[in-house]
Amino acid sequence: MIFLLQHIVSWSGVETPECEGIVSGGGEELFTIKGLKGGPTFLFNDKAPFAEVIKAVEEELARANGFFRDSPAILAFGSRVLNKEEWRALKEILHREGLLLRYAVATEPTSRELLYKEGLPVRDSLAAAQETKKGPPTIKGSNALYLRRNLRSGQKEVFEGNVVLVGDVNQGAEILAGGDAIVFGTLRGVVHAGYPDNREAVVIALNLVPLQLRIGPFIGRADEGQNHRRPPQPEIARVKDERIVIEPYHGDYRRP
Amino acid sequence: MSGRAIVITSGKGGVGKTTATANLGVGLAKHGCKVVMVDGDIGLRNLDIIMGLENRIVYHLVDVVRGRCQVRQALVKDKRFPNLCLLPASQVDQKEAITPEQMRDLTAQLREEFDFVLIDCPAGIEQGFRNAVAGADEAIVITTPDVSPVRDADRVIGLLQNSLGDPQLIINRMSPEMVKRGDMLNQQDVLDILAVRLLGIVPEDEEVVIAGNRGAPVILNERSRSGQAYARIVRRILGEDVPIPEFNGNGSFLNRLGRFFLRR
Ligand SMILES: Nc1ncnc2c1ncn2[C@@H]1O[C@H](COP(=O)(O)OP(=O)(O)OP(=O)(O)O)[C@@H](O)[C@H]1O
Ligand SMILES: [Mg+2]
Repeated sequence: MIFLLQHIVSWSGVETPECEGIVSGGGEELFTIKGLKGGPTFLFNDKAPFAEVIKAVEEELARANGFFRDSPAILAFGSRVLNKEEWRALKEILHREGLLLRYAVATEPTSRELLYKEGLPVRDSLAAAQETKKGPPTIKGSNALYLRRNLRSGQKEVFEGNVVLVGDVNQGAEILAGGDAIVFGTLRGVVHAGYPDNREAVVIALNLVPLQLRIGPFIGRADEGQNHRRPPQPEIARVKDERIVIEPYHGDYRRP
Repeated sequence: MSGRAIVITSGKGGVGKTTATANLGVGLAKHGCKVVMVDGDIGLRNLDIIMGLENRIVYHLVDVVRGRCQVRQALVKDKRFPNLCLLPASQVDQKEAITPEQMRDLTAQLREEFDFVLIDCPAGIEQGFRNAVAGADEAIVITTPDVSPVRDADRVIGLLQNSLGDPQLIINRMSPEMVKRGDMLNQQDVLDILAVRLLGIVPEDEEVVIAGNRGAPVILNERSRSGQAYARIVRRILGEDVPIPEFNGNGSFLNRLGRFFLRR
């Protein structure tokens, strides 16, 4: 059995203990997005050249394809010395992607003053709301997007909470959900549940036959060699032992 | 009285749109309907060849839209049926030579005079597609029972649903032998994915190719299987309840795709 598992770049390593919002550049990641209660939090590596950071942010947001639109974002700059041009360039991209900036976290005095003058509230540390780890087993955002139709090739639904679709997801169609994705129908297309880093998210479908499935930072691919024939049955996909596992779904949502 | 404007479309190229347009045109004309076939494939016109009418073309669709001639002057009368006409495409222009609004006006005009306006759509989902679809009030989507045409048909159905509602489906080039061996999607596989009403299934048949080369659509050959299939489709378009023969073979091809991951 072939099973592929890989981390999506830039989102691995998010399970670090809280660091009061100051990310000191460990060198590897240019930035990280954490799904905190107050909204997606951008943790910028404060050692890397800012031009590279900006470029990485731009690419990531382009890839996210509108996922963060209208999300209240928090920007954590650590101890970086930020100049006005750098800030404007970053702001331009975040605005273009529709993010609503809530506040910044910065420790370096000139950066703090700059951000403040630019109209952004500045804090010393991320607020106490570091709730990613021991929260309820579900999901960032408590609401769900409910859809009753087929998602056809070329159609895409993006939602920061859970997505419930009564209908089929065809090949070439896509669901990007911050939380769970539940499909009352046949799932053939690509679903990314728990986007970007929620490994607690699950995918449930009455007939789960995608060629690729993503949960949080994990990607699973169909085994192209296998030739099963079986009647459709409800199944649940979730992350166990660092990989995506699919099991029959008997109405038991609890994690084993 | 206003006729029905039906666009014949597919997304994927080469699956049989033009062939279907010609056969449906002839079939409806045989039933006595007044029919005009509009070749919407500007720059790559084919419908005239399949109909065997290429030597009679004087003006074309772009001429009409540009006001270089009257609609009446551009219409080419069929050799066999006086109630069947072709509005040819231009071979020298680009898809951008006309706009969806112009197509809408033209179709509205044709609909006044004909019972059926059949629009042969070019492949793709760009301007040519938008033009062809603009004036239609119904759509027939053609696919072959293969994975990529079905996916493109799915894309097109999604696009059409915003404007025209659910289209009807023709599955073309179905090969009973391949379905039986499980080497091709069967009827149920295709319908499971596309979830629209099936208008008919046309078998793979070399008579279609021969007919196309002769300029006499296969529906004129009443002994051919594909001709009979088109004749049944025509009756369904006219509202008759004609059963559709099954092409299901044993076992689903789709269930053999995408079995995967770690399953316990
Ligand atoms: N049922 C059939 N059996 C065998 N051959 C067929 C059948 N239907 C169509 N063909 C052949 O397939 C080829 C493509 O058909 P056609 O030109 O109608 O497709 P099209 O969808 O209009 O293509 P395009 O996208 O290029 O406009 C032709 O050579 C035609 O003869
Ligand atoms: Mg054609």
